[in-house]
Amino acid sequence: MALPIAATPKLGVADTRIFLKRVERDLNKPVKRVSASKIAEASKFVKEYFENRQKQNY
Amino acid sequence: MKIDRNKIIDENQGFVLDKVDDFSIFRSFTCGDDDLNEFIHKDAETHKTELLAETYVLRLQEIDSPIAFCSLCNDTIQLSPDARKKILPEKKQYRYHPAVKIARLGVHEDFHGKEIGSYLIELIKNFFMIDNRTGCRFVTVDAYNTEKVLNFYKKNHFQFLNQKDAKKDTRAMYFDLKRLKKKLDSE
Repeated sequence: MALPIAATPKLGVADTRIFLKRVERDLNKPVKRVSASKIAEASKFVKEYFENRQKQNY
Repeated sequence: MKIDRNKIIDENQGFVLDKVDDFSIFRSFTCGDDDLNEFIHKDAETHKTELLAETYVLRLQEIDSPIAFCSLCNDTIQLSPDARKKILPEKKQYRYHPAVKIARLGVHEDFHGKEIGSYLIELIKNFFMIDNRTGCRFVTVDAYNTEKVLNFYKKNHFQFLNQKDAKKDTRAMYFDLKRLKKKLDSE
């Protein structure tokens, strides 16, 4: 059996303070996303991978 | 990108994130990790049957073979009531913040290093922020406590919930969906 899924542990007083401060502080920090070109590259790679595998199976 | 209840279709890139009903699609799937492989081969279906977690498969639109998977379940971030009174006395503050937990996430081993894991994380974030049926503020994960896995989640803007689990097998991490909402609102 794989590891069970655990609930996220409750935060104590000190950790709650740190957590809330951090959430507020980070709200305006930029969020980088995976570039469209990287995803397109991955899509092309995966497509070719499955096409090659199909050819090998024939 | 089209998002509905059970599916995300990225028509530009040709990917689909789809809820799994038939787990036999994972028969020859391997992601190079024993725990993840065991979960997807043996446990994921039971978790679905018991309504504990739903599994989603990332695949190409025209090919059913799995590229990656994630299993998701409900979660909360619970705060200490004492601390919240001291920090935010004038604001309405809840003790329980709704979250979605990434119970498992695995990428087929032949597709490692292609940013597919990060892309899947982005799809999950979008799934629980755009037209979500209920409120969901955070994405949580118990990340394997290895440099590679922790760096992966850090790169995707997850942060440690606390330092208490620094020496345990897994580390609780979170991402605040409001950060992404702010970004999308400003675009």
